[in-house]
Amino acid sequence: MNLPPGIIVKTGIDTATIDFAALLRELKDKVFNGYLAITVEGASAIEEGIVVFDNGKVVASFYEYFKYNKQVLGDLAFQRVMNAAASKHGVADIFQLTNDQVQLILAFNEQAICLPSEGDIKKLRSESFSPLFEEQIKDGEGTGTKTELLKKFKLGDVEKKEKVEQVQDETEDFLRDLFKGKQ
Amino acid sequence: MRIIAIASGKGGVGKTSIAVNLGIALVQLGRRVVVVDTDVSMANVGIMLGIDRAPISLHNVLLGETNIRDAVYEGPGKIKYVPSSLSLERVKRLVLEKLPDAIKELEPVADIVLIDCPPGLDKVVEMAISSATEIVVVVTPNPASLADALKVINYAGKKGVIITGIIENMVLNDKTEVKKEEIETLLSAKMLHQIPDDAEVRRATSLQVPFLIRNPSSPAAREIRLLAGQLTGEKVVIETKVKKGILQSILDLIFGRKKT
Repeated sequence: MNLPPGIIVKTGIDTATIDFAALLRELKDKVFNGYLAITVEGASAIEEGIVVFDNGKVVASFYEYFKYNKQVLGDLAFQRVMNAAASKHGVADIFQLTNDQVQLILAFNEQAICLPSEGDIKKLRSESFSPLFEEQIKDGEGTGTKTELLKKFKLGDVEKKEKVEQVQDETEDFLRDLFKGKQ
Repeated sequence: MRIIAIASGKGGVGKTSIAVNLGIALVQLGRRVVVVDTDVSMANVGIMLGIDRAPISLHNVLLGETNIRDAVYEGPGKIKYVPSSLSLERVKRLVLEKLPDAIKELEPVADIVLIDCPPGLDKVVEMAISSATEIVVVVTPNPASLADALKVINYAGKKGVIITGIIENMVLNDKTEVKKEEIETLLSAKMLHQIPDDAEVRRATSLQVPFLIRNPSSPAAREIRLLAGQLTGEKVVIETKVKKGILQSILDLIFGRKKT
């Protein structure tokens, strides 16, 4: 995944010692704009996950299996990032971007958008690294990428519409809470 | 207790049929299984099992009138199930948020709970998926089914429900069908099993008898039993009957060979 290099905030954070949920909370509190890249040694090769932050909120995720040249996007990528964070053999790096750069990433990678709540993050927290995700990717080898298949079967809009609906729901919830607060 | 949601998004792909027959196959492997019909407006499990009377249903549970264990019935093949009501009466008053806790209360009577989800991705389906610890997604090999399955998988992934895999149903092995590998890549999940398109499934459904009981040696029944083995990690041996030709039968008759 090609992202702007940005400003290095921290590099070489050992995944064996990291409390990933706490790190996400810390970045949220700091209203962080940028991304976190996590690189781990998978079952048979190197895997890399990326989480993009918009004012502290997780807004997009990418996950790449270099051996199979496969990329997973959005919620499913974030699930894999949470799995990677449980690995004993990996490092995480944090890079700061401007909010404009973050918005550009989102605009050009709509399928990578994911908006996990704190509850979702808690649920996705993993105690140990599972190689199962790599197995799934391996089994689907030789058929083209997911993006190519979405295009082939004219399903490109499926994931996009879902993200839009999710944002709409969250906006409605926000306005409802705001309205309640004023009453 | 494993709580497995059987979902698809799209209707008519065979979720209920798979839930019921897989349940029976798991019972045959010695598991205590309860199938919960969460289709609160279009209940089908009872109909498929040929049982019409269920005085207490999931509706009573979701109205807070009773404990879910009072709504457990025994069907053919010793399968246990919790039906939804066939009536739409009071359906709007159901408190769907009660579902996850209600299902957990099956722990003393079940090793595996199979949640038969309704089609779509409305609140009932969301609650059904949120009640589960893992999800199995049923698809048929066509793009419409995959589009809906994709939404279900994304939702489950977001809720932290483990995606155990995909069951591809009604497979004809026709060139026009979406390939197994393509389905796995599109849905970012592993193919657990492929169930062939089998006329016996339609016959059994019409006669309201699970196909695993009506014709245990039918192709679909064999695959369901293998799937049950796969889910439990147990080895399932499928006996194959070899059809004898007329000549062989005559020879056996003449030489008095024992039937094999």
